[in-house]
Amino acid sequence: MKSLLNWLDNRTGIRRLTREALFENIPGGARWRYVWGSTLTFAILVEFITGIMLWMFYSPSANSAWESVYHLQENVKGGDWLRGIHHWTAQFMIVLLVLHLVQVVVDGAYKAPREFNFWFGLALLGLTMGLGLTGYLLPWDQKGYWATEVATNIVGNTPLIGDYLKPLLIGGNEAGHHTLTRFFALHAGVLPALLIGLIVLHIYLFRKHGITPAAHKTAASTRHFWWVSCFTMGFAMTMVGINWRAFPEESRPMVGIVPGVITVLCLLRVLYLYVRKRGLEEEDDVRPRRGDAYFWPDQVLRDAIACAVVMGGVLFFVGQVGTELSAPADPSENYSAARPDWYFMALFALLKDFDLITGAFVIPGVVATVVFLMPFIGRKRVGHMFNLVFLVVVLGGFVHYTLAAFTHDWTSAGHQAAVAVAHREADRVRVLAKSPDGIPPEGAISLLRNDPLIQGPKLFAKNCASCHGYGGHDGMDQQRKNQQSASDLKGFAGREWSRKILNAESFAHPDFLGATKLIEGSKMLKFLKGDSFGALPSEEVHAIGVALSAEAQLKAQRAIDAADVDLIEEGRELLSIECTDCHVYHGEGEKGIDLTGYGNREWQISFIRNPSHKRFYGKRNERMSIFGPKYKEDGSLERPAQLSDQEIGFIVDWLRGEWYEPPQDEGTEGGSEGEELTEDDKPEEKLPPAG
Amino acid sequence: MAINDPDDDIADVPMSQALRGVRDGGAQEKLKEGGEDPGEPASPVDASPLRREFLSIALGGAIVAAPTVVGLRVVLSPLFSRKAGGIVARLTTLDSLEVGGPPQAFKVIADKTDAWTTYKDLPLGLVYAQRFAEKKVVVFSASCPHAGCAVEYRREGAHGAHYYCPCHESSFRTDGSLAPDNTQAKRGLDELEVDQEKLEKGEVWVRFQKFKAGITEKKAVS
Repeated sequence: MKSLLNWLDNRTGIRRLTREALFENIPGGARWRYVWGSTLTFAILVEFITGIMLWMFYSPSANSAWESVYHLQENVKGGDWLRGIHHWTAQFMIVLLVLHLVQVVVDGAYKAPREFNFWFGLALLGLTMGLGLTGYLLPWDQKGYWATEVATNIVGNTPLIGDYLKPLLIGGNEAGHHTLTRFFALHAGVLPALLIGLIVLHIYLFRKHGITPAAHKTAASTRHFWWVSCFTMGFAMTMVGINWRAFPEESRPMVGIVPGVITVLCLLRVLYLYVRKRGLEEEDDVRPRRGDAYFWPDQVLRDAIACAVVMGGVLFFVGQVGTELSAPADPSENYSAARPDWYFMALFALLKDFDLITGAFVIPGVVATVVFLMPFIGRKRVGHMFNLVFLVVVLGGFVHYTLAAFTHDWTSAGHQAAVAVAHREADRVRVLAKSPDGIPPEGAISLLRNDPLIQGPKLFAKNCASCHGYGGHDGMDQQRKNQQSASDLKGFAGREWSRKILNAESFAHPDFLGATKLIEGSKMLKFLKGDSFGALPSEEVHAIGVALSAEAQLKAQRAIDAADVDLIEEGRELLSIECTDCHVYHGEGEKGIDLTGYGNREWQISFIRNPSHKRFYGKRNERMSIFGPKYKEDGSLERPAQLSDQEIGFIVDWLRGEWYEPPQDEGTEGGSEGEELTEDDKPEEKLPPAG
Repeated sequence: MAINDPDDDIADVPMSQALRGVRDGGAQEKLKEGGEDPGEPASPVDASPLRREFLSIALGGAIVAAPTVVGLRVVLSPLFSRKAGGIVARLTTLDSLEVGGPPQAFKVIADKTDAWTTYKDLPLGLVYAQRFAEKKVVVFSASCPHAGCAVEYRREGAHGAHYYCPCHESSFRTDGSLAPDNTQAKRGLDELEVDQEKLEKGEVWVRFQKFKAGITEKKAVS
């Protein structure tokens, strides 16, 4: 072993290298406050390890990026953890960088002769934010796409060069394949290479100048330290207090208690220092400094523990919070939930208070310039104090704007609704991607674009909800913008619906026809109130309703319709006797709304295409649009269709409950078939698993 | 950085002790450069540096191992999902093959999920089908069992009609066995399983699989 080491050492000088690495002198001995640099190095190492592995699964193109990330996350064992570690370590890196910067400024480690190292550090901060920005886009999901849209448009507004910079950055005039290939090359190639180079220089200069010796510790300096801590905590609590609504309700007590306790502890500490001052002050000033020590093993152990805490935090977040993958990017969907990563939220919020140039360039530019000049400003003691105050103010502003942005989002009903829609689409696209048809070659976005469950309510809210309701809202779970003036179409043509048709009271209810002009002088209402209908036994009215509803062949009623064959047959016969004076029904009757196939797919599509057709309302149509193409008397086109047949199909399929549902869990499949498969009020739960 | 010549001997003591003297000079000198007080000389080595050294190494190893192990599990995932079964696909109708006629090449077309994309009617590979008797169809994979090039059917040659691989001149009889002038292949062409039931109904369905190239036995790999 020893001879092997000698052999290796003769050729590589490995012993000397090890010594240099491990036996760095630390004046004053190992300290916890020196761990930040090492935790950052560790975090970068983790990013490189996980990043290269993610690379093996990633496909940078607009119709495969989301799909490849989805595949890794959902179908490859451990894939969600790999992506999660990469994502959350990046979040921790931002925090660690800020802590490192604070430690450097507080310790005065930016002063001569360490200016260059300070600047390298700032450049590393910038590179890391660049890595965050580029990495955010790569999954090509709605979140990343729209955040990048904002970011690259800001780049496009860069004074003088913006018009050239943006096309270079996104590889054209619009985001697309080349945006991904460029961002990927930046994220996995250019920026990491620069990062490595700068880290080498950073560590080289750090080793050249050594650790900044800690200032002589005296009773006064200790008191100052704790006073500053009290002040900072108070400042932080004020910021949190202003923005308390940024925090989820259940976490608010913790948000108040934790900093409060820390502040009280700081105050107690100051108090204690004053109390014991009398006996110790003289001794304090001459208290012997702690001895120097080497990096190895004491500082290494502290560094390792700090890194372990970071890793623990990362794993905690991966396990508890997970890593979001929203729906595939779709430029045609106005994604109102668009937000950048949290550390850009302050800049994002700045743009609400300031115009684009001021908020995105002037303010950050001034801050960056001052921070850059800190080594010069800090030459004198007063300059150092200025730097400290400046840093506290900038960080305070950062925290304030970040919290304010989150407060706004937490309390904005509009944003919460947008987030709910975003989550629904993200969940839905996963369900569709797991269906037997899988993800088609044109990408997962087509799954959502062709899904009645997603498109139906959107089209309903846009085209139908100005008059109609859906379960009391507009189809998208939003409050209606105006008074409902036509029927509530939830459950259209279901049994409950046909029961309402056959009851004078519910027929004239505003949720049915009550709010329309059709109700005035309605022959149907007269009929329902009339004696001949009143003479019908209620079982027969029920049979008519069931038979009418069965015409729709609703998916949810398949089981009970099959069970009620006899009742439906009875109802059909009654229908053709009682209703055909005013309706057409399977060849019987000559006028009025066609009840043949009432509410089935073809019937509903034809109805929406042209409610004024003689098969439906005819000339009595009050104000419902002809959504299909409209023709003049002579048969020529008056105007093209408002909604395509495909779009009408989405609305109809959604109203009819016809969309892909994943199979119920297999565990219950075997047992349920033979046993208690009887009528029930909830037909959707009674569907035989095979159906 | 000024460093004394390295000490070639590493005694059986903690590294911090073994190499301690080496760097003291360097550290002192560096501190003077900065013009700052060097402070007290390093205190005597703690009684249990070995324990801290061990802890440092163990902890450091563990935290780097965590992401690495997760990553390796993911990267090595192709090794954990190896199952051979092939894809069953319809080739043609039985009528389109002439009894006793020459082999015909067919593209195998079927639905396939490649990682995240599900393709409809994707060409998966090439096979040769030959009808030897009324209800006997033999299907060979066109993939050469030597190294996987696509073999060609040739009507003429030293030994009559045969399959020939243009890459390394392997040669096979029409029944798939190795021809006398074969050079490299170690086994005959890979015969694919034909669905006899479907054949009775007049259709040719085949289980399309890949087999490990280069060896004597026929071992399915997909």
